[in-house]
Amino acid sequence: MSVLAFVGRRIAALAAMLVVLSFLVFALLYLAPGDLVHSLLGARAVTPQAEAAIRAQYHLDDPFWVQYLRWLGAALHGDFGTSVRTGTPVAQMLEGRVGVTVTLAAIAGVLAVGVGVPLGVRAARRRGSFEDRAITSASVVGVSAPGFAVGLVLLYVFAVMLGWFPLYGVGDGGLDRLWHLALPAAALAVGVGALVVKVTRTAVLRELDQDYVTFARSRGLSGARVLRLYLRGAAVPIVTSVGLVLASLVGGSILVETTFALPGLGVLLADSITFKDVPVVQAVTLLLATFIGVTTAVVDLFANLADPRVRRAAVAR
Amino acid sequence: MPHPSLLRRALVAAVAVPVVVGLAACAPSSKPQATTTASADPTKGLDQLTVGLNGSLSTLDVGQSGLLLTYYAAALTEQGLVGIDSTGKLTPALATSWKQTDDTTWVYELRDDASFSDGTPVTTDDVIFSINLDRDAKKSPSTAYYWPALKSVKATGDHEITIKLAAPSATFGWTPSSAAGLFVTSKKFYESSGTYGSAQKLVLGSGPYRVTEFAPDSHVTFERNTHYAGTAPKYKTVRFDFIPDANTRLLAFQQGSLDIALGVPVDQSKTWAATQGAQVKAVSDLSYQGLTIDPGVAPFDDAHVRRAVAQAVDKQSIVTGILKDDASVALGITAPAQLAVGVGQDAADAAVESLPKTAFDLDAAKAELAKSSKPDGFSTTLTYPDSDANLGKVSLAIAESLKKIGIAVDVKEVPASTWSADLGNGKQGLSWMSYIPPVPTDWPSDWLLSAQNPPATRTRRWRPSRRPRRPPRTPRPGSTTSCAPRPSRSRTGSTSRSTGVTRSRRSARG
Repeated sequence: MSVLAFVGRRIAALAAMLVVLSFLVFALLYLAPGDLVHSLLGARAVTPQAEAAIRAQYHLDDPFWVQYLRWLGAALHGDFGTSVRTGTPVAQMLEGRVGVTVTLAAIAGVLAVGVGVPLGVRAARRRGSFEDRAITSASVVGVSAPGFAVGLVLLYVFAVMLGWFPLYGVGDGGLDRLWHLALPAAALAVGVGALVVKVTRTAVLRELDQDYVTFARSRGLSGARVLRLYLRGAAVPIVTSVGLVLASLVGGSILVETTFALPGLGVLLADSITFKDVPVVQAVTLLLATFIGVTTAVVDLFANLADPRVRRAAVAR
Repeated sequence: MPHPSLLRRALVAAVAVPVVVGLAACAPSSKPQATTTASADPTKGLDQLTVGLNGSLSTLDVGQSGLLLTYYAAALTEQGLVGIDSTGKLTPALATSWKQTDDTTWVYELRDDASFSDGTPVTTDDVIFSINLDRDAKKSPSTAYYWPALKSVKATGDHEITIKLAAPSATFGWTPSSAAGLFVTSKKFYESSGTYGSAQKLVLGSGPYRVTEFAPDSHVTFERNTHYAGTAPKYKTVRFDFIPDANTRLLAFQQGSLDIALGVPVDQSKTWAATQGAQVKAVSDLSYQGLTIDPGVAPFDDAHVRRAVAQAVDKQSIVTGILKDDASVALGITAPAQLAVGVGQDAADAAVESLPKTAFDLDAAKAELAKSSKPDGFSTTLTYPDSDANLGKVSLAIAESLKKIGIAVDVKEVPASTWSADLGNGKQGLSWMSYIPPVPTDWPSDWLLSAQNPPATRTRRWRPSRRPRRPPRTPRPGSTTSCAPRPSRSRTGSTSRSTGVTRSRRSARG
C-alpha cells in the first residue's frame, strides 16, 4: 500500500514539475535573443509581407500567455506540434533519435555502475594502499576530463590505432548499433563512472568505520557475510547518487553525440534551442525531464527497499 | 595508423576558406589555392563516393532550410530551370533555352524529355507549382527571398513557361536556378501525405541522383537516377555523412572512411594534406569579414579615433600569420571576383585596387589618437561569435595592436545567437561584420544601400547564418563568381567610408 501511495505521489509531483518546466523553458526561449522570423527567412532583406506572413503563421504577435496556453492546450491533447525548423511533426523528428540516446545512456550507465561500484568498493577495502591511490587518482582524472576530449582519445586509440570500433555514426541497427555506440558510451561513462567510484568509496569507508563491522569481524563472521552487511549499509548513498548520475548522462550526451556524429536527442535539442524551435525544445526537454523524474523515483523506491529506516519513515509520513 | 583491412582510397579534402579579414576589411582572394599534386582524379574508379560534411541536416527541403549543406544535397537531386557554371554564367537545366522579351518578361523553353526520378514526366504544371511553392514565404521561408514580386507565371505552350515580373530586375536570370530559388518537384508528390524533405517522405526531383535514404543528423544516401535526362553521373551511389566535429572528420578521413571531406580548419590543413594520397584544395567563398565601427557610439564618433584604429591594425600580418594566406586583405566588402562578372576580372581588380587604403602604421595611429578627444586612449569591448574560432584569434591580435596605442580592447566570446542579436544595436563601438554571398547575384552593397536596409537604429535586416554552429550558407564552388547590379532597388542607405573603415552598422553573413 505504501509503495502504491509512494508511486502515486511521485507521479503527481512529476506531472506538476513537467508543467512548471514547460512554462520555464517556454519563457526562457521567449526571452532568449534571436528572432524566429529571421531564423526562418535568413540574413536577407525581408519584405514586410513575408515577415507578416511568418509572424501570423507562428502567432508571434500574440501575447506571451496566449502563446504558452495555446502550446499547453495542444500538448495536453498529445499534440506537440510541428518543428519550425524543418516543418516536420515533432513526433516524426523524435522517431529513431530517442532510441539512439536511450541506448547510449543505458550502455554508459551500465558501464559506469558496473565498473565504478566494484572499483569504489575495492578502493575502500584497501584504503591507503597503492591500489586505492591508483583508483582514486584515476577517478579524479576521469571526473575532470571533458567527455569530448575523452571521446577523441578513445577514437584515436580504439578506432584509428587498433581499428576495433567504428569511428562515427550509428550503424545499421541491432548488434551493429551496439558496436557503433560502444565507444561513445565509454566516453560518456568515464566521467560519471569516476563519480560513482568516489561516492562508493566514501560510502563504503564510512560503513567500514562503524562498530558493527568491527563487531561482526570479531565474532568471526566470514568475509563474504561481513561484505554483505556493510554493502547493504552503503547502498542508500550509492543508489541515490547513481540515480543522479544516470540522469546527468542524458544531458552529457550532447557533446559526445557531436564528437561521434550520432543523431541523438542531445544534438537535436542543441540545434533546436539555437533556432528557437519551441515545439521541438519543449518536447525534448519534457521527454528528458520525464526520464529523469522516473529514474529518480525508481532510485528512491530502491533506497526505500534497501533501508528499513527510510522505509519506516516513508510509511510514517 | 590506419586500419590495415580498410582499402585506402585516394582522398580529397577541401578547405572552405574564409577569405578575409581586417579592419576596414579584407576582400576575398579569388585565387583558389591548390596544394599538392595535380594528378589524375583520385576518386576515379569508385562505385560509391563517400563525403564527410562539416555540419548536419534535419531536412532535405531547401525551401525550409537554407543551410549550405541542404543545397549540396539538392544539387544532386533537384533542378531549376537554369543552372550556373563555374564562371557564374547561366546554363541550361530543365529549360533548354530562355529569352527575355522585354524588361519584365522571361520565356523559358522546357526540355521535352525530362522526368522525375520516379519516372513521371516533368510538366509545365509541376514547374509552375514549384515556382509558386518556392516563392511562398510560409511554405518556403528560405527561398522566398530570391523571388521578386511576379505579375504572373503561365504555361504559354506545351513546353513553354512565361514569367512576368512586377518590376524590372537585372538579377532575375539567376533566380530560377537550383543555386538560388527554384527546386522543381512533382506537384503530386509534394501534395501526397507527409512532410517534403523529411526522413519519412524524402524529396523528388529530376536531378542526376535520387535520395534512397535520409537519417537526419546522420547521413543521406543517393543512387543514380536512371530517368535523368542528362549525362549519367560518374558514381553509382553517393553517401553524405554528417560529421560536425572537425577532429572526428579528420580521423575518419585519415582512416580512409571518407573520399572527400569538407571544412578543413585553416590551422589543420597541413595535417590533412599529410594524409597519404590526400589533396587539400582551398576554394574562395567570396566572404568578407571586417571590423565595423559604429560612429554613433562615443568615442568612435571622432574621426581621429576611427582613423587611429584603422592604422593600428596590421591586416597583412593577420592574413599571413593567423589565416595562413588563405585570405587576403580586403579593400572593399565585395570580392573582385564577384564584381568581375559585370566588368571582367582585370577591370574589377583595378577598380578595387583604386579604393583608398590605410597602411599599418603605429606611430601615425598614435599621432592620430593624440589629436582625438581621447588622446590618452580608452577601453572598449569586441565580441565575436563562438561559431568562428578564427575571428577569436584575429580579435585578440587586433586587441594586442590597439593596446600599443593605448586602446584597451576587452575581447569576449559570446554565443553566436547573442552576437547576432547584438548586431547594430547602437551600443557597440566595434563589432564584427561577417558576410558570405549566398548566390552570385547577392551583393553586400545591395543590402547596405537598398531601401530595405533601414536606418541604423531600426531592427537588424542582416543576420548571421541561421544556425550558427553550422557552416554559413555560401554558394557552391563554381557558382560563385557572377553578379550583376540590381538597378531596380533604390539606393538610399548610408554607408560611409573613410580611412578604409567601412562604417556600416550592420554585420552579416549570408
